[in-house]
Amino acid sequence: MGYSSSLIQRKFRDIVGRRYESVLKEYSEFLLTEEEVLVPEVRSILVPLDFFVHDITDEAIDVLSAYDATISLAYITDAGVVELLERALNQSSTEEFRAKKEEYGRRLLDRTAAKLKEHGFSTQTRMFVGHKGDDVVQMAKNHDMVALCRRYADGESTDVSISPIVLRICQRVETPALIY
Amino acid sequence: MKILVLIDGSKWSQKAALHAIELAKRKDAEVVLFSVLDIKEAKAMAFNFCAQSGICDQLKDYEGRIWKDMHDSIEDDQNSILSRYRGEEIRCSSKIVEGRIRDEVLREANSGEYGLVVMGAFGRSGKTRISTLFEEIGGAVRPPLLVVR
Repeated sequence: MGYSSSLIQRKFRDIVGRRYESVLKEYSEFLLTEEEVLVPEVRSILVPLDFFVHDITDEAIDVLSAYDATISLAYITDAGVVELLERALNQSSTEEFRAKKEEYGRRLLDRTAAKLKEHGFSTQTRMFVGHKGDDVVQMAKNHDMVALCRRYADGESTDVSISPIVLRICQRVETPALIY
Repeated sequence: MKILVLIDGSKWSQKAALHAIELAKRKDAEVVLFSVLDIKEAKAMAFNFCAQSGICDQLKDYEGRIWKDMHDSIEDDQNSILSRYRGEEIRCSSKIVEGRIRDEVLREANSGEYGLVVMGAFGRSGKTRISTLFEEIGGAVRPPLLVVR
């Protein structure tokens, strides 16, 4: 018996038949369809990194290893900060900041990619200046899952246990999200 | 690995369970379907229904019936998920507790038994907004948290 048929039998006994179709249409937000029962394959996973993400935890790697997926590591330097520096400081100071960030980002990407390769993952890396929330949501459209550190894009706040940007990304992405 | 799946009766939590079980198959992991029932929900539903319908003399009766229905319904949801995988070699069990949802979920999730917690992105209110529970527990759950859509 299919999932929907089983659900009709159990919870919608009184509206079996044509009326169920109209209920299914009108209340589709609340009813699992046969198509939705199928768990989509996860072939590519986006893992955003930044200054506040120091590592992918072993626990997260253990979960990700369940998928036969390529990991895309993306290091994003905050465009807002770069723009602010460009307005407040001179060009060379901004370039110096950017170069330092990129040097840090490159080291983090290399270190993380090496760790993932040790666990058998194939990886690709990307680094750019952008908007952490919006760009992750945009990039997630080309991946099957996104894995986010709780502290991603967190600034210096220590009083919250999950970054507001992570919450916002989770609200907007269409893929499953692993928070570690 | 042991995987905790939060089941609240919504289709999103059912999707989360299906995803978790597929993941468990690959990891040879154990799955626990976990639900929390809060008597305050039954009280609120009974009160609002009886007040709107002008039958407040039957308030206690309705509360009892709603509370029983909540138990039956969540048991039914859990059993229907388990029955899908009957015959397959999957270690999957269910657990229903009573109490405040956030507190009970955190107590279970942070007990040290679990390597992953899985939940639906939305709750019983549908896709209107992201699950309130996710906002409440997202930062307090210690194991990795998988939010399924």
